[in-house]
Amino acid sequence: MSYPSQIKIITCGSVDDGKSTLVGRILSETNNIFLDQRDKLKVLSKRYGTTEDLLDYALLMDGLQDEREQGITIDVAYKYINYKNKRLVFCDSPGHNQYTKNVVTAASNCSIGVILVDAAKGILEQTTRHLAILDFTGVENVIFAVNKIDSIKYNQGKFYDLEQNIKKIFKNYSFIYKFIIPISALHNENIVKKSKKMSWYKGRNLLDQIIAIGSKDQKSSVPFITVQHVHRPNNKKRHYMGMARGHPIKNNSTIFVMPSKLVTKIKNIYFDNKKKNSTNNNYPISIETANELDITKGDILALNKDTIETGNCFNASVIITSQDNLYSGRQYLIRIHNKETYVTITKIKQRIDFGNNNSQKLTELLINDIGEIEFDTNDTIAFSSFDKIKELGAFIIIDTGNHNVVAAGKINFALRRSGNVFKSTLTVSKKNRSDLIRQVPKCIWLTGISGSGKTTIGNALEQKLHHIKKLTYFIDADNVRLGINKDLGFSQSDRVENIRRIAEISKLMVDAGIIVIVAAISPFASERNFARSLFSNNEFYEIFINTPMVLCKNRDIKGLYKKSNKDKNMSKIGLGLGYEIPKNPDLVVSTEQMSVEEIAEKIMRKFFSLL
Amino acid sequence: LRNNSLLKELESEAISIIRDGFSRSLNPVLMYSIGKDSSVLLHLAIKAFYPSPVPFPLLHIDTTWKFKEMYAFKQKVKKKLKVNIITYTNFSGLQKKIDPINNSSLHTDIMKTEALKQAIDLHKFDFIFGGARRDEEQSRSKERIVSLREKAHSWDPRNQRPELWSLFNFHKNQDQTFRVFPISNWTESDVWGYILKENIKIVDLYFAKKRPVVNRDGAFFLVDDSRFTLKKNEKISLKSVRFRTLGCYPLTAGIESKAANLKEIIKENKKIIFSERAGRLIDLDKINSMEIKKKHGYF
Repeated sequence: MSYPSQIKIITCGSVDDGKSTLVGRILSETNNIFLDQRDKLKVLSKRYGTTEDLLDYALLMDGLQDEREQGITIDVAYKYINYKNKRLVFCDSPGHNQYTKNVVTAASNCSIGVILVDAAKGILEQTTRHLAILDFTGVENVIFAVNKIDSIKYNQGKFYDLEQNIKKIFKNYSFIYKFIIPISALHNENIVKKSKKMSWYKGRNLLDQIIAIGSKDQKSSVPFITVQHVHRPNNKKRHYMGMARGHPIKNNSTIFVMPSKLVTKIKNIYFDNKKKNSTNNNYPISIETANELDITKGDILALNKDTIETGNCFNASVIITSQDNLYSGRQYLIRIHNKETYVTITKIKQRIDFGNNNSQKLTELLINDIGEIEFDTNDTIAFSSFDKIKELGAFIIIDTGNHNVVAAGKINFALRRSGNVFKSTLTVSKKNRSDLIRQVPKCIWLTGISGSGKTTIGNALEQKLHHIKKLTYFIDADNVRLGINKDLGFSQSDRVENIRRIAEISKLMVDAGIIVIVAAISPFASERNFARSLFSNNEFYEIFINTPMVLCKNRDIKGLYKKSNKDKNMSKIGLGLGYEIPKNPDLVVSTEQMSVEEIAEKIMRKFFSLL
Repeated sequence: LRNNSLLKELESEAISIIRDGFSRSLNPVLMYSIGKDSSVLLHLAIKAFYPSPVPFPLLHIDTTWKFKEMYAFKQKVKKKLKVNIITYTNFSGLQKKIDPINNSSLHTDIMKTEALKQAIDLHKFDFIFGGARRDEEQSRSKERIVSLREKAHSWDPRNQRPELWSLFNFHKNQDQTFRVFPISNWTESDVWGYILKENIKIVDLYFAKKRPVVNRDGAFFLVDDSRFTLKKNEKISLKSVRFRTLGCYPLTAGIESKAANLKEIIKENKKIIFSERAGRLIDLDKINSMEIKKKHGYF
């Protein structure tokens, strides 16, 4: 989100195009380097510098030891400059593809993108990738800085050719302002003053161009309040805390609570340590309402209920920011404005290509991919499309296992599909069914690496339950693969789908009143969490069969370990390599320490309170 | 600079971060060092929850070597603002008698970094709000606003999580913690401007006054108590000095100045050619000493 008195600028581009040197140069020319910092820079330049006798300004930006030693930028450096009555915030970002997630981080809060291009090398893959990222994250304006112009001897003709190429790739995007400026960061040409060596260039120098763009007025949005926190000190009256946007909302105004569409009035408004008569644009406020309704974190309070949409099926664009990849069928957490809920990715529709043309089955998006997806949310959410109100359409997707940010995204539109599928209410309930056979249905989920003893334990457990006349069903993942999951292979995305189906089938069976035992490696925490989320409390138990790998290898019932020694390409997770150890299982057992019989008895005692 | 609107934006961002973090935490705490940045952070926390009181305690890591005026100021704040201040000292470290005069970096390790980690573990704080700013130092300029710390409070700068828009990710595993920095995007001049605008009370040491000091290569150290030992040929003289940052008194140098009020300080700061932390000896041990400290759990 861009602000009038701060201009946030991201510098990006390919490796060695001179990003850090440029920002360092700007700091120096605007007198923003203190004497002790300059002394430190002299020492660093001698030790790590790549600019011979000149100061290596990049070392001002590359503040981490690893960065200096490897001569690369790993993460964003933020630098603050006061210049011509403006606060300029430069976000210097890395060029290596490996650190693209940090470019996305920097770009998301900027209004101007400066993409550096090496005059001699021209447009590279990273150049177009970064342009797409600027467009994706909502950066409104782009300046191409053609750097190292001295290396092509300030030649107008060569610059003109490059300019034409840049204009071609610009065509695909609708930025508000687009400029192309020839510069030399090292020799200080066209940075803070017009270069005398390029009289043929008629435009502004880089900093003046940035100031000119950044001084444009911002459009203000429709009025609404995002609810950030419901504060109830000493069990007294509730205070709804949140950010007010758009035109001021007055005290006593009627407001709509979205997505519930409940109606109430604002009674008191507080901010700036005072009671106030109306809200302030872009300022955090605290309000009381006339009647206490169910208003929670993640709701939107709107003056006009038609300005905010609600939904639970969406079409969205995403960029992947983690090695964990994004899988169709997997459940994740989503954060959109202040709302958090679970989502399931229902479809991966498209993947944007940056030249490496490998058309693949769209079941997953890999790190740095930009793509189009569809997803369902557990809760109904209040939102707007990203293009209309950025703040209400931007979201992040979080892995439920390791809590990494897997993807950043923006909502394009809500899908109406959800409106057409009605959940039929059935009159015979789960309780009716299970009462008939006098048992409490449960799902016992056995997880562990190949050869750990899941199937043997599952068998023993089922026998015991059957013996005391309980209706059971044992789902062994290997057997399911011969039937309903016949179409699935062993790729990561197929493994996700394999477990999703087993979990859903178990749920149906528990609904039918049956005690279900599942034996599946289920290597990923996300899918095990998903399985758990399908059931009520005290209905699902995750049991981790923690048998040491050496023992599993020695047993090697299926001969998989032997096979893998011969065939290096064999799927590793089939063996349980890459298995994510359960963090909070309901029970951990090991066949090394206990017999199968003892384990089955322990499960009976613990979860069925009988033996 | 259109100062007021800039300060409004920075204030708005900071309050929003404080509320967001608070609403997703179980046991939050605000790091309170008694310095100007802490004072600003506390002021923002008060504003964030008005008309309710600040709903979390403050944590002061006491090395026992702070300036006397800082201790007096802390008592005043406690009384006047009615906040709960938890004071923690690493007593086992104290018994080792490592003083900051002869052993500055070990003292910082044990009495600041270790002490902070012990206090967090003892009270099981999960979200720790701090007043660190990105413009202070090179490794801080690389840090996220919501900074994930691993089991032993370590920071892995090579592998920071993406942080997009203002959609902070406050999910973590049980043994991890968050350091949350609401004033990351403020500069030294913003802090001074805000103190002036909001009339925030700060320790008197920030204002120039005649004080008994020892001159060490142009850096002026305050002779604050009898533990201060003079080197050969050193003399105590009365000089008008002020401090740009406050820490342990033998490790924090003042500058010669006549700026006795906020307006004069702001005016004078514009002309100063040294950075804010140039007077902090603990930053100068090694070229990347702050990064090393942060990796080990310093805030």
